[in-house]
Amino acid sequence: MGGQAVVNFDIKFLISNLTRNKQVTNNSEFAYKFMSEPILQTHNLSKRFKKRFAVSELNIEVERSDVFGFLGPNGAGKSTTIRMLLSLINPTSGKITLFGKNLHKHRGELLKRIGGLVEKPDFYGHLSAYDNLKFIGSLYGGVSRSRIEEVLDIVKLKDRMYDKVKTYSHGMKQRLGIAQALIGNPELIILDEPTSGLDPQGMKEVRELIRTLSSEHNITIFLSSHLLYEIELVSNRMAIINKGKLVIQGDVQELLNSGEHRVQIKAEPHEKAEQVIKSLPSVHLVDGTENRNGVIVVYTPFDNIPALNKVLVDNGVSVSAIIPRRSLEDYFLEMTEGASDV
Amino acid sequence: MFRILALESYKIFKKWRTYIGFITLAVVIPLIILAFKLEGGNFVNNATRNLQRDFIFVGNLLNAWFIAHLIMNSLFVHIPFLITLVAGDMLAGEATAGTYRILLTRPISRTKILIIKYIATIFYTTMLVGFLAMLSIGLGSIFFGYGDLLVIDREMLILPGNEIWWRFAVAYIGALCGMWVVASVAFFFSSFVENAIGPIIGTMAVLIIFLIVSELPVEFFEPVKPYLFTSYFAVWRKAFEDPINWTQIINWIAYLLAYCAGLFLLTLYYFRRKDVLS
Ligand SMILES: Nc1ncnc2c1ncn2[C@@H]1O[C@H](COP(=O)(O)OP(=O)(O)OP(=O)(O)O)[C@@H](O)[C@H]1O
Ligand SMILES: [Mg+2]
Repeated sequence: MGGQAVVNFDIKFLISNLTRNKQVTNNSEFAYKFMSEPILQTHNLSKRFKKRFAVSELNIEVERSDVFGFLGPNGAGKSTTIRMLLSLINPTSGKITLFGKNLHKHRGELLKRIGGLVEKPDFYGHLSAYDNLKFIGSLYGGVSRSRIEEVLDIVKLKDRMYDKVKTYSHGMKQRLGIAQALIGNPELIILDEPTSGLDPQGMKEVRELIRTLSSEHNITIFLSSHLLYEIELVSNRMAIINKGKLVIQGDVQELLNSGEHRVQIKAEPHEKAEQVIKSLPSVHLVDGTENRNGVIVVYTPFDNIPALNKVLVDNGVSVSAIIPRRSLEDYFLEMTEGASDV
Repeated sequence: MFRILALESYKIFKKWRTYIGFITLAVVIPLIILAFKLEGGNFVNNATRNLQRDFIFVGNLLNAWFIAHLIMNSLFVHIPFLITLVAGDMLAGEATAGTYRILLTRPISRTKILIIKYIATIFYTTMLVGFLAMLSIGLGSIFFGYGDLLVIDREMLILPGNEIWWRFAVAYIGALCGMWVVASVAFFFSSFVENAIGPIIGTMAVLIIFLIVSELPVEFFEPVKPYLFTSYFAVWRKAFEDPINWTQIINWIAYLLAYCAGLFLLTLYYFRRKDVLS
């Protein structure tokens, strides 16, 4: 019975996690209903390098107040897309609209309202963080000293602001990368893998920073990542891209909870547990090689798991673990692998 | 715009490589002056031996002007190298450092960025040539004083001291225009690549080839000579001719400036369309 308590605790933890995220989603849906406004759209956006398409016919849409996750494995075309969004490279075809206006035609005006960084956070290493931001600020028509201090304070670099950037650690540069995106007081910031190369603590800090920017500073955020759990932790909407093509786009929780979860069950006695499971209509037992070492593998909707647990216990089966493996990671792999077969 | 220009110049002068040129000049010019202080009397005596039979030289021919003229003559291939160190790095350096990504994602057009960077390059070049002028005339005057200028070019000429100020001013302006072209070539090459080494070597290669072609007295090369900017480098020498040929000086300076403008426009044409992948 002690084991069961542990499992229940895990599930509770999972559920509380999910509902917490769901609330975030609901809030932004609330906002969405009243101020539905796509602030970033790509229309059949494509980029070809020589013969290969790095991005192909991409259509994505980011609404105001979104924390939009742009997910894809290495080489998917995330950075190429962001380079186009930040006007570093020209699309081969298709177009980009920001705040309802064509980026190509209104470049200066639109870039004033956004901030971003693509790929590694590189700066003028021989200058201090302060001088770097002062220079970048001048490209927006100049920023005050207090604004520079303010953004450095947000990313917790204020006490190191007169040190040359080449003496910074990678994590500090990554945070300075966020600071420079904020310098022009943007409505939208575009970040390319802002947690790459950070340790778990650093990743957590950046995620918290992103949440703060979204909730307290009311900035719409577009961030790319190749880690699903990261998107799950911070984003309300996402798009998955693979080999330059959009795989799917939508609400993170909806995409997450759709379909069945792959659940591993450790229970005694084994035969009894299998018998009970076979009798349940909404649970599909997987036979064969996976069904070994006393672990039973089933497919079932996530909502079914508490009921499944109860039925097993009521029938005298002692459950020591229920592990829903239908994580976003699985989903992601499934989607991208599926796409690569097409 | 002015603020960005000031910051761009600040960026240049915060870089170590910027001082290589100034330090080199600060070492070489005193060395030349020292050498002349020790042996210069003989040099002038030898050079004027033939004339001494017919004329009596009054005053001091080994003076600041003589030294400045000589330094200009001998540093012509070396100063461009010092210029390319910085000019070749102006755009390529941003690619190497990855800072194109923070520079070109801003609400300022690439045209403006390029104009600012070009002005900063021209400014640096001017500073370097100015430093050369100040150091050679300044140190020369301290060690040798002023006097008439002895010019040993195709013929030997002695220019009176009261004309020399403005002749040197014209000469330095002419030389500066030539160096601006060198800077523009390096700047142009710099826009294509992601590392400053290419533009530095490329510019030096172009310069050496052009200099050889435009200085070789060969019939075969005559038709191309007017198109080589190096053919107009000697404009500064024209300031020491007597009588002075103003039309030619103005034309040659105009050609050099046209080269600068042409190279800048080519750079701009490419830079505006460039896919930034660094
Ligand atoms: N300069 C280039 N020349 C040719 N092909 C390129 C160039 N840059 C990117 N590509 C190609 O475009 C595709 C997408 O690359 P991109 O950098 O956008 O991927 P990504 O999603 O950012 O990957 P990662 O997670 O590794 O950063 C890749 O196949 C890559 O090889
Ligand atoms: Mg990338």
